[in-house]
Amino acid sequence: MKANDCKAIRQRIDELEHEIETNTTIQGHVQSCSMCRRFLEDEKSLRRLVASLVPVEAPPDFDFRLRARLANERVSKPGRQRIGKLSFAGAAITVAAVAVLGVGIALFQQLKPVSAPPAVALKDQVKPAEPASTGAPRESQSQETQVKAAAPVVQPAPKHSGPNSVKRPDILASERPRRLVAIDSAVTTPSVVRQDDLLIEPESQLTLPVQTLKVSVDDGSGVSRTISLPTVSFGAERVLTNARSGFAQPTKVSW
Amino acid sequence: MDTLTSIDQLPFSSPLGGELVDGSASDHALLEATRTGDEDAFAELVSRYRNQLVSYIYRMISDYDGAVDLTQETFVRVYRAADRYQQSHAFSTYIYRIATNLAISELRKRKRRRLVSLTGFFQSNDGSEPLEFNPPDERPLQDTELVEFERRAAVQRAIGTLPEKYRAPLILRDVEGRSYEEISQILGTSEGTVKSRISRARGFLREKVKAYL
Repeated sequence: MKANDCKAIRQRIDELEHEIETNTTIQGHVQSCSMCRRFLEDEKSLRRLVASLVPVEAPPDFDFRLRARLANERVSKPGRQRIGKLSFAGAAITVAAVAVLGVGIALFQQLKPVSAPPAVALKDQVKPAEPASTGAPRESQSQETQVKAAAPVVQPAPKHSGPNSVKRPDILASERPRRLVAIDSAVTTPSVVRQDDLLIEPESQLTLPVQTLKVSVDDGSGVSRTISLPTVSFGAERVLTNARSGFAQPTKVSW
Repeated sequence: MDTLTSIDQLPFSSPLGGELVDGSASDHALLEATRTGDEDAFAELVSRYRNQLVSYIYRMISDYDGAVDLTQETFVRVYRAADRYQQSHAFSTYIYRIATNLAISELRKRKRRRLVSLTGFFQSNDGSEPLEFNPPDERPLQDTELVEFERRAAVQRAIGTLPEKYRAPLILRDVEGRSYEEISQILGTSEGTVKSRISRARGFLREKVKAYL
C-alpha cells in the first residue's frame, strides 16, 4: 500500500460527506488499510460529535431589543445631522474669525506708525529759507545741560538727530516727514555730514543754520517746554564725527 | 385612545400591508420590501435568521451574551445597508459574512485585551494552545444525559481553542452543514483553501477530543 494512496484517500474522506459510503474507491481502500479504516471511523465519530452540538436560540426579548435599537437609531439620526451642521457652522465661524483677525492685524500694522503719537511735537517750525537743523549736540556745556534736562521727553528725538542720522541719511530722510513736520530738504541745506566726505575734502565748509532752533516739548499734561538749540558749530561736527566710533567720548578729550 | 398591548404594535408599520410577509417570500423579496419601508418584511428576515446566527456566533466566540449582541449588530448592519444590497449572492451568504466578520473582530478584540483567565495557569509548555482545565472526575456518572452534556461542552471548548481561520470553516461545514461553495463565498476565499482549512481544523479537533471519540 503506497503512502500517497493513503493521503489521497484521507483527503477524499475529508471532502466527502454522505458519499463516503457509496464511494467504491474509499471503501475498497479502507478494507485493505487498517490505518485508513481507523481514520475513517474517527472522522465519522468526530463529525457526529460536532453535529451533536445543540443549537442555541436567541433570547425571547431579542426582537424587542432589536426594534428598540433600530427605533432609537432612527430617532437619533436627525440629531446627528444637527450636530454635523453645528460643527460645520463652528468651522465656518472659526475661519471667519481667523480671517477678521488677520485683516485686523494687517490693518493695525499699516496704521501703527501713523497713529503712534510723536514724543516730540515741533510747534515752531523751521522757516523754509532757513537751513534746517537736526538738533545735533552742541559744543557748549550749558547747551548740553539744557538738552539733557529735557532728555526724558526728548529721548526719541536723537534717533533722527543723533549720530545715526549722520551715518544713514536715507533713513533720516524717509522718516522725517513723519516725525518732523514741514522740513523740506530740497529747499533747505542738508545738515548731514559724512565723515568720508570730510576725509576726502578736509577744507570743505559746512553750511550750517545761522538761527537757533526752538523746540517745544509737550509732556502731555499741558505744560509745554521750549528748548532753544543754538547754531551748530564745527565743534558739534567734531562731536558727531567722534560719535561715529561707536562709543561716546567726553567733550574734554583733546582731539 | 387605543391602548397598545404589544411591543409589536409600536415602532414598525407596514406600508405594503404585509403582503410579502407570508413566510413564502424569498429573502431577496423581503429585503427589497424592507428597502421600501416595510418593517414587517424585515421582522420576517429577523425571525428566519436570528437563531441560526446566535448559534453560529456562539460557536465562534463561546459567549452567549456576546453572541446575542453580535447577532443584533448583524441585523442592524443589514438594515442600514438595505439600500446598498446587491443580489449577486444568496442573502444567507451575505448575512453570514457580516456575522463572521463581526465574530472574528470580536475574537481579535478579546485577544488584544488579554483577558486573565482562571484557567490561564494551565498553559502548555510549548506556547501553543492553552490546555483546558479539565480535572478528572473519578466518580461514576449519574446518567447518560450528563455524559452527553459533558461531551458537548468538551467539543465546544475544543472548537473555541481553534485558530479563527480554522474555526469558521469548520463550524460552517460541520455544525451549520453548508457547502464548500457557500463557505468560500462567506469567507471570501477559494474552495481549495476552505477544504484545506477544514481538514486542518478536523485534525486539531481530533487530537483535542480524542477521549470522546
